[in-house]
Amino acid sequence: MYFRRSSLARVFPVARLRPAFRRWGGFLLFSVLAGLLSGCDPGDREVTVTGRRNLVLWDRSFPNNLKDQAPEEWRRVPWTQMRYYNYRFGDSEEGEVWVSVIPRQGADAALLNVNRWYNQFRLPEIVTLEDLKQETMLGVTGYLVEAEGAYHAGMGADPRPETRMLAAAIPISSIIVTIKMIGSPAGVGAQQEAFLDYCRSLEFFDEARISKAEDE
Amino acid sequence: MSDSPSSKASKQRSIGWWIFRVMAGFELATICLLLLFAATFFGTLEQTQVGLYLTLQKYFDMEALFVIPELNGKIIPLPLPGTFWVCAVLCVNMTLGGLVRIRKGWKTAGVIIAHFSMIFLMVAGAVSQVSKKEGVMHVYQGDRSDYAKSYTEPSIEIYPYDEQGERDKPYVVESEHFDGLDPDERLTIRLPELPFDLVVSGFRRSSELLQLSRFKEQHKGERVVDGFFLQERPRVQQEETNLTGCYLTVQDKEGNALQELILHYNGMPFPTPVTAMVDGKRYEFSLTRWIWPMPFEVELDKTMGEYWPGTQDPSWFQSDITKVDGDGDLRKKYSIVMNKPMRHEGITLYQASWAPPAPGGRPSSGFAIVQNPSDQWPKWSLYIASFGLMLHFGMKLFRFLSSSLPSKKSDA
Repeated sequence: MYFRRSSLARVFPVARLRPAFRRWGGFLLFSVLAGLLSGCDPGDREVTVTGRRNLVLWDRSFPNNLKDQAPEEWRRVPWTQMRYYNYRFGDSEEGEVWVSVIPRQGADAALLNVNRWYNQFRLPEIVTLEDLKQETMLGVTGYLVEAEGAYHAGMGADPRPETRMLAAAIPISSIIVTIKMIGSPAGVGAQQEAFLDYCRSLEFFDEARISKAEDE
Repeated sequence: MSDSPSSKASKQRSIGWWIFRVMAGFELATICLLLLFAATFFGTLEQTQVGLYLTLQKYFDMEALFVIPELNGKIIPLPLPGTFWVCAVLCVNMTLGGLVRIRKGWKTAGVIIAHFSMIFLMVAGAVSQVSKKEGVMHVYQGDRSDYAKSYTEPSIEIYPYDEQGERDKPYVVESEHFDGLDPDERLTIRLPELPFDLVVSGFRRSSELLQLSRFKEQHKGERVVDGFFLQERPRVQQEETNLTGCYLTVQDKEGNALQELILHYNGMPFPTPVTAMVDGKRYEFSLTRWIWPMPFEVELDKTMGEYWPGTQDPSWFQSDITKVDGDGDLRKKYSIVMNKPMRHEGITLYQASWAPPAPGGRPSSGFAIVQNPSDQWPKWSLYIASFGLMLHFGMKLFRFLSSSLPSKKSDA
């Protein structure tokens, strides 16, 4: 049997292979070097991609099940915890639009949020949402806010002079959906209609849900 | 001095005979087993420091030709060949020595069967290494899912839009192209079916996406795109928690840059793409974990579970699911519990995690999904090994007993 050979004197027959190594040594050395080099870092790479994946539910899932329809001239930039949708617009892309979803803590949560926006422009607070323009969004009443001046975003950001804001607060169930547009007065003015269309385009969309009967 | 007959025969033996002798030899088997022991020993120690994913890749991956062990950040000056290739050599060695060269007969039948089972076990490992797919499917009670997502492997997806303005089938830059890609390397992605190409740069396996306006103090000269920059984070042991990031340049077919983008995987259960306009059309670009479409849908009808008191370790959990095939015509109910997976056409669903409902929410299940052609081979190889060894030792026992019985008679 192949494992029966136990004498140490006969364990390594490699020593008897010297003539063979003389003949094949070069080839072996080349093979070893080729093997080692093949493991080296390839550096910059190139790949051609034609493969497409079938659409699945992942492709039809949205932040907080909130689906939007943005104008083509808005460019989407990275998502953050506070900005479910985050867009840039304008020739120099100085304009920003973003959508946030915050918990609705208390009956006046929407009013507090609107007043926070006014504070960012150092404008006086309002006492009731009824003073604001209203528009149906996400099937409920949304409140539209406008402001202009120096914008103090807070959170360490530098103040932004001569800025105009369009915003909407939509209190719905236990959350408030907010949409905010910030930019130069001219830039925001040019996008006013697109902003309203965008707010109206928002919808809750949950294709993964099959039933509510089992909910506990 | 004249040569002895044996040394004459030795001289006349061909190079082929010597290669066979070495490859089938007990010596090679011993060396392989010692190397496997060393790799397992150092791998086990290193795994406690760098995590399972990196250790498996370093020691056991097919692409690992040589391994230099490290302990506590210090290099152990003992280069070891990659375990995959040691196993490949051992497999050849066992085939030649344990099946071809071995003396054949009833006395060795059990040993031959046991050798075959070990070769089968190693082949199962190789098949698994080459063709195994795995991912995770998270489903809330009352929801359905038709895809799994890789735990660790990144991919870039490029969505065109269809005529209705909805996402169309994405082009996928597969995970393998990002293997070993360093931050200072570039990956050029040619897209013959689209009017642009892409260049990936600054690829980081573990990173954080920071907004410049809020994290000025942390900015150390990193590239800023759209007001964001990527900062490298130490790679942690649990690879699935490392968040991948990179910069992406959209360029025309002549290589002129059209748009700079920044991509970051954030672990959310929905895509968070960025967009660019090319030739008047909008495209989405998303860095995510590799998405694996399933050939069926899973509806999570009910999920239940319990943790051991005072811990987050589940004592048991169960998921009642409906598997939906085709256009929803074929529906079959399954109950998946710990260690009792659902199997379907080579795909296995294990219950891997369970989460109780958040206040006002629903419980959820995480199913580990594995497609491995050699899934059941290790089990069969162990059955074969057991049979072979029982046969071998059974025959030995029988011979021992039959040789001892007559001597007792003669003593009497």
